Amino acid sequence: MGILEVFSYFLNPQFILIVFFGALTGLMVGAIPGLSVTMATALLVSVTYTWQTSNALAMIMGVYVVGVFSGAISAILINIPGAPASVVTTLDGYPLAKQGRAYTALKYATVYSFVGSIFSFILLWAMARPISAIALKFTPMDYFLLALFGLTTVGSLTAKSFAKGLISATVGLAVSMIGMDSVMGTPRLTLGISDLKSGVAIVPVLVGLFGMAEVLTVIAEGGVDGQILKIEKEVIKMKDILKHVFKSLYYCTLGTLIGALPGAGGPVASFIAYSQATKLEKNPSVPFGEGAVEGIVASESANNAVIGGALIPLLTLAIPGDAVTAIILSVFYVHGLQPGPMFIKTNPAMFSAILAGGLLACIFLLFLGLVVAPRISKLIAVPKKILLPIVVVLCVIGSFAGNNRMFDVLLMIVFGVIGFFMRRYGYSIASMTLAIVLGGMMDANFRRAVSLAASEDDKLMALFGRPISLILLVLTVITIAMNIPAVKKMLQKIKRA
Amino acid sequence: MMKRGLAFLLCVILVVGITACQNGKGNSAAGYPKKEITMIIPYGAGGTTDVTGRQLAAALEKQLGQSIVIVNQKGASGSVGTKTALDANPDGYTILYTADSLGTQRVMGISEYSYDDFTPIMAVVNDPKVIVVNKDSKYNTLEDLINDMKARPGKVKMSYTGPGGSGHVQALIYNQLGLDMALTAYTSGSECITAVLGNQVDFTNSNYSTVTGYLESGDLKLLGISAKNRIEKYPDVPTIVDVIPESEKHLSMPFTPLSIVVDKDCPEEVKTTLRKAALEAVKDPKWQEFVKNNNLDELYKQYPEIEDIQKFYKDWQSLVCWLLWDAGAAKNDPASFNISRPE
Amino acid sequence: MKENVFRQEGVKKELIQCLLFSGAGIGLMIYSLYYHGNAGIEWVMSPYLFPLLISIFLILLAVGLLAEVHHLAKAESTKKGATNAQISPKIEWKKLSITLSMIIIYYFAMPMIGFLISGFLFLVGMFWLLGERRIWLIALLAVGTPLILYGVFHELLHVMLP
Repeated sequence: MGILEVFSYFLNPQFILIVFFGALTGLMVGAIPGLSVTMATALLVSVTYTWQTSNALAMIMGVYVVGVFSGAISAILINIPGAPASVVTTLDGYPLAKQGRAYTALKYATVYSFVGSIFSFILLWAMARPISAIALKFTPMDYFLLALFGLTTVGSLTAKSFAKGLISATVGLAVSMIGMDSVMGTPRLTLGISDLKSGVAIVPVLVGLFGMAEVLTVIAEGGVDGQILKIEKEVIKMKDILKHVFKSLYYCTLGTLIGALPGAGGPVASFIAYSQATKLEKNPSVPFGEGAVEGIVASESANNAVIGGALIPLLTLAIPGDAVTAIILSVFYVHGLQPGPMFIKTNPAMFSAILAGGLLACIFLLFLGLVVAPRISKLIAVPKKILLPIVVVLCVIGSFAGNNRMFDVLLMIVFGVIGFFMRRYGYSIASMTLAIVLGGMMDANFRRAVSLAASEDDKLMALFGRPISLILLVLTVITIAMNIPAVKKMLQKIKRA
Repeated sequence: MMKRGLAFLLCVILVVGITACQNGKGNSAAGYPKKEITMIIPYGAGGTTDVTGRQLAAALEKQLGQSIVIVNQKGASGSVGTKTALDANPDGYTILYTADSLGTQRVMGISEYSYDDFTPIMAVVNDPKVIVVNKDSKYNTLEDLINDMKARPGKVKMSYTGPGGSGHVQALIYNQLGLDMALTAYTSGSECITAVLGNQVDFTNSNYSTVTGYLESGDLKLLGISAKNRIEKYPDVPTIVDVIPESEKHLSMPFTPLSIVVDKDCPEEVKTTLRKAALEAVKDPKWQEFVKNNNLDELYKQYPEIEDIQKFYKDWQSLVCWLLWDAGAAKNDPASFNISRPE
Repeated sequence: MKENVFRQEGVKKELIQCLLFSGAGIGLMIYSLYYHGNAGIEWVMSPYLFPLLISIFLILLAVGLLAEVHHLAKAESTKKGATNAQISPKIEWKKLSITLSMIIIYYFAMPMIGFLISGFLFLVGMFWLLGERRIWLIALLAVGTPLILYGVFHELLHVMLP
């Protein structure tokens, strides 16, 4: 997989065209509320069935890279994230847009999504094996601690009432418990509704909480007569944007590593990166949650860095790092490839195709984001009374298409209503989403860890006696402790002394 | 400007609308199938069920002359997809490609569906279950593992996919042979493999086709086959029957059968046409190659007639459901579903 | 003084929320304990462990919310001209309920009369409700949107739309 092989794809016009086509598709899928990258990739499996494998991969990489980025577009413009990974971008992106500075938000999102993707692809190319070796060392206990650590970041997501933010998260945890428990197979909280047995899928919930709720809120508050927002033309200097590059590299590393952990993906990475940003930035340009570009930097770098990261275990161990890579795995099978540890050695051409597709997609991302997105955002000038009903129909399709079930649409509607009330009474939707994503991971892994330790003689050692576990444990405890108001006050006193 | 945009939009709508309507017309051949068929795979994209289903569909399409559209509907051990297949019109245009869980759903309390709601078209393939360990594992032969399990009951760790899964059934069979291990559940077969790779457990019981890559690269060692016959590619690897002869009565049937079934209320014409087409489809060279590469057992050779298939399901359900119930893993008594004990 | 605080409009709503969450927490706790009792597994491995922990946490938080509200309300009642800052702008309940009913009808109608027709009806209804009166535009979008979506999803991507 030398440089030459990868670049040979760059000279193939058909390949380039297909990546571009994928990129465009990704742009639209991510930007349209209700449609998500995961859904699009799943549907692409059938579509690309008869294509040549390298072309199928080209298309998918295009959709994946640009799709993750363009989730930020709808997140910024209409407060509806295009995918779970873009939820955090709404926190600062939308306020910026409301202030008329959507251009700024979009530009930052574009540039840093680009940085994130390229960074992760470089790591994929150079350090795939070492990274996957590290990822393998994560035991269920480590996953549990990671999820717990992720949850402690809830504090940074709630601007107003801390208790309300935690309540949202707790309710989210309860929601994540619905369905058949993955460890014992017992149905939980299904209340006799058989459709709930498979749990609550994240996409309908997301679409409902953000999309449908937003529609309901706007209609209820009577704002249908205006346009969604006005966009002012701005000149933003690249210099200013690039000021954040170093911090961004930190977020990218987080993103790639978390992506490399099977089962943890975009949402986890972007939430953790955002919370790290709130700690690292002593003086953000604007307070977080009111339009701080530093928040967008963190979120977008991390969620695009997940892409290369998730591909690492996929290509070195045939274990997908996130939902989209799970689908890419099936594309391999469908085309007769045998993924596994030998994949890179026996299929260097495919590996190069993936890298080439990814890199090309990054370039298209930059192009589309800088040139096309601002023009598309003018589309938002469509009057709300026309846009909103169409958004509803899109939400319906988006929820349905994931698993071909009407029930998911019902879920979406229910969560839309829930989201509406949450907004009205000041409960953070982002916290709930985070909790839903992390809840299952926490519960199942905790019990797995216990189950593994049960047959050991020294239980405590078995549970915690590993470097990774200890580090995570210490980090989590410190973070929780720092968030308690009493401790905060104490620290402030110490600082002053 | 607006007018031009509108005109363009109208044209697009017309074109799309017309193409959408074409689908109803289909081919002129009388009888079934007149339009495309939907094959529901009640598992996610990428698993063994999905991959073999798609391969078979490709070969089947050629025989039927209509395209087969694959729809993945995962969830609740396959019961979500099963429900959809049963809710659809029994006109033969929705077929189900099911895995073994259909036989255990009632006993495990997951749903009320079973093979009895369907008529089998063909038992397709079986993926042999094999025992694998990490490449640095202290076990080098199947005997090492078995002896260790006998010496330290409840201490040797195995990963499996949860109660009712094929891995669990295997574990219960081993228990019957006097082998006691510590089980930890993971969400999927590939996670079980990860657990072995990461040295969290000592061994696992996987489908052969999922581990071929790791065996080749040397990351996993193949210790034994959980079936009666050895695998062509690894003739030196013993089967459990080789090491524990009494196990033969437990391991004599395929454990992960994948089959094509249709709603039992479908018209006879549909069933016969599908059967004929399926039997022809498996002669397709691409399919044959696929089967060979993945060392799948061709169940249609073992169970050629529908009565054979139905008896196979019955025997399978007897063996597995009672095994689960006796071990305390099942929620509902198999007797309540008229499942008789294995002979 | 304490009575005054709790009588304020905004505070009443917060109180209801606290009660709601405490109720949910208690409900969840009962649920977990009951099912766990039936299952007979040790606590550490039980699927009901986390639900129980969550319920405890929820109850604690509801109490915490109560305290927070009390604290805030006290602070505000000492300020002159305290307003109910927590309540968001006026809500057009009529429009909202009609919208919601239409969405629900849409949901039920879809499997019965198909995606295209139900989508068309829904869009026409919604456009009208929200004040759009240009009939040609309504017709165009209400027909075009479902058709285009159908074309893309059903034909291209083989999603089983009703």
